Amino acid sequence: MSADAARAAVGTLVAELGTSPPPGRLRDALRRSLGDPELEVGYWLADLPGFVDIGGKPFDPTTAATATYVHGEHGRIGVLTHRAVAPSEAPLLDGIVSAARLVLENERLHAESRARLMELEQRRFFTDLIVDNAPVYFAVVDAEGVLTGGINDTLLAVLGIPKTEEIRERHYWDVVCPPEHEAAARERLALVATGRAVGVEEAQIRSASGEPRTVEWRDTILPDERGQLKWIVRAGLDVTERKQHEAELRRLLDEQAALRRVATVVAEQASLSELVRTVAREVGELLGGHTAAVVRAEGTGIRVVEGWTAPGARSVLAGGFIDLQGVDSVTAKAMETRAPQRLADIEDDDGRRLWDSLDIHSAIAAPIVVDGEIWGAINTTRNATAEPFAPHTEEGLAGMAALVAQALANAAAREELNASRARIVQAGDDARRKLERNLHDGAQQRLVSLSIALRLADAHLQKSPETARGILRAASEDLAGALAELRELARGLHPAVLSDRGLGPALQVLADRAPIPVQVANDLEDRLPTAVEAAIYYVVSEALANVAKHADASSAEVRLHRANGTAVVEVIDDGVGGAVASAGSGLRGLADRVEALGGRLRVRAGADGGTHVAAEIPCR
Amino acid sequence: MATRTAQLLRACHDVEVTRILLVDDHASARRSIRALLEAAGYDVVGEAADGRSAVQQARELQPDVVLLDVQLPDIDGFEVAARLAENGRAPKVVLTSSRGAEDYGDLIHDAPAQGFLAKDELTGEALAQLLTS
Repeated sequence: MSADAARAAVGTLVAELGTSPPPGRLRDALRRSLGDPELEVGYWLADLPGFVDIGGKPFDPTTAATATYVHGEHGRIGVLTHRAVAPSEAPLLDGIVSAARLVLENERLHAESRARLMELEQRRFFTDLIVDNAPVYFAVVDAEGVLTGGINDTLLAVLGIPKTEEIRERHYWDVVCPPEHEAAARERLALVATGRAVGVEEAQIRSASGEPRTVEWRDTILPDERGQLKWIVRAGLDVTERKQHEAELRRLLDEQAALRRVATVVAEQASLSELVRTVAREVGELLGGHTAAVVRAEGTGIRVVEGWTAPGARSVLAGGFIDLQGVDSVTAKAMETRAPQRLADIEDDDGRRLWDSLDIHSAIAAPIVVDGEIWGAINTTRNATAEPFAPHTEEGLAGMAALVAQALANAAAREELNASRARIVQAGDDARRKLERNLHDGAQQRLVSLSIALRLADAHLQKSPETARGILRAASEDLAGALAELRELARGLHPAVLSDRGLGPALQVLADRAPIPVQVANDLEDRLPTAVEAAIYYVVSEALANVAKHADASSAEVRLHRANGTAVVEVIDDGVGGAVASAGSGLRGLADRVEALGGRLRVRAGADGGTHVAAEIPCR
Repeated sequence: MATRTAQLLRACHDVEVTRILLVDDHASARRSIRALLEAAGYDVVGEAADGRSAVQQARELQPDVVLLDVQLPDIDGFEVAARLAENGRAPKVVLTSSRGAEDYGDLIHDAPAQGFLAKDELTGEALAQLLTS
């Protein structure tokens, strides 16, 4: 292309563009001037990411065959992408770039404003998205508390207000607050508007479900261009669940602390009255009752073992009997179902009268079950000055009831242990007394008579030798009787054959002496500990004595074996049965002896009638 | 021995022969003691096997001496001695037992009795000495 042709083309271009062509006209004019229908124009936006097209969208010049960068007074302003240009066309391209520079600068400004507008729209879109979907409530009110700025979708959803409903002319408190909180909200917003409220406000809002929700509001003031209050932006965090969890945690901690205090009383083996006094007080205070009581099941009703009364409330009469027959009572229900129960209202007339007489408005109770048996219950009540107990409050009672049950079981075990010790001591005393009596009445008397007889014989020896001889013969017979009695007595103290020969031969001796046939099946190979052997010997001895005295049996069997470190002895007869361990002191004493060795004695009906006595004693 | 006992008795008492009520719950002991005392010249006028009948017989028989076993099935010898002492003409009481005196401590000393003789020390002579002491 000649220089003239190039000048002519540029001149045409300048004339066509003028000074302010419509947006986009530049590209078309340049395409015609360069004879390149693919030519594109990019506009450099320094603080935005690179080049954009005339519509403000991103533009990438590197994909074109040739990119000619255009610079203005302050640096790069744009780029032309076009076909490859021959060296001879270089003057034309230079001319086109020069001619286009001013228009390109103008169009760049246009593209920049479009790009910035788009960016703003995007930002606004994101902001709206965030505001409407964030788990935070937003409400924008003017100085009068009118919701001129609206509320976000999250809050609308909680309030149960459709998005289509127009709320922008209504007051904040009319839309958001439960009626009883309207005045407080109005006051708060007035303080915020005058700059006198700082920090966070905790308030309740309405909710579609009807259950009020607790919200922490933070307020920000937005002024207008003159610095006057335009909007108050309320951002609220819903803390309903957090508050509930905190309350639940506090309740659990209080409950744990109360349980620990009661457990300490249990561990100290305090008296029952002290324990139930502590329990009643802890239950009442922990659960916010006006009265609390530990009651004992008695016939058709309950007897108050210990009661606690909150200051100012009507007292519970300790020791009083309350007949619950046919009454809709929470305590009776808890004992009947063996589960904690709650009653917030009562319907039957008898129950209502009972409640009125005791000033009860709501009540909860948990049963006390000791060794599988209902012992009684713990209950706590509120009068009409307080809300009824909340659902599930009664479950907090169950832990207390379990502790009381444990303490009662421990006390019963201690009592049984003490009784057993006392019986063992008593049995020892009785045995010694019996032994002294036997010695005194038997051998001692015979020896006294012998002593007198010898003196008598001595007196007769000179004058009447025959009389003396007769006295000495009688004395000799008395001596034989005394020896026999002493032998019997010694055998009763401890069988020598047991010490010398072991359990098998000793049991065989017992069997041989029994008035009915007794079979002994002894599977033991080794000797057992001395105390265990003695216990088994006396179990068999007493059982066979009972068989002889009471069973009316024709035969009996003694079985002895060892299983898993435990010696087991059984005495089985074919008699009339009916023996029990607790009735006869003989069997009771044997049970004590067996239990003192960590074993147990059972007496029950035999499989084919008769009585089955079994003792199991650990050998370790 | 009988002569010596009789001499001792005559020296101390107006009665010729000492009349004795024997109280013991063991029949064999009563038999032996009666034989021993009679051989020594005493007159055993009655026997009792328990405390109440002892009191009753003492009232009826009016013995000079009650040889009284301490351990009896109903009321013990100390109580019997106390009841006998309530009577206007109380017999002398000699306590006895197959146990030793040390088993009873001050009870013997405090009892309204002449003294105590263990059965294994009982002879006509020992009884006479106690009655004259």
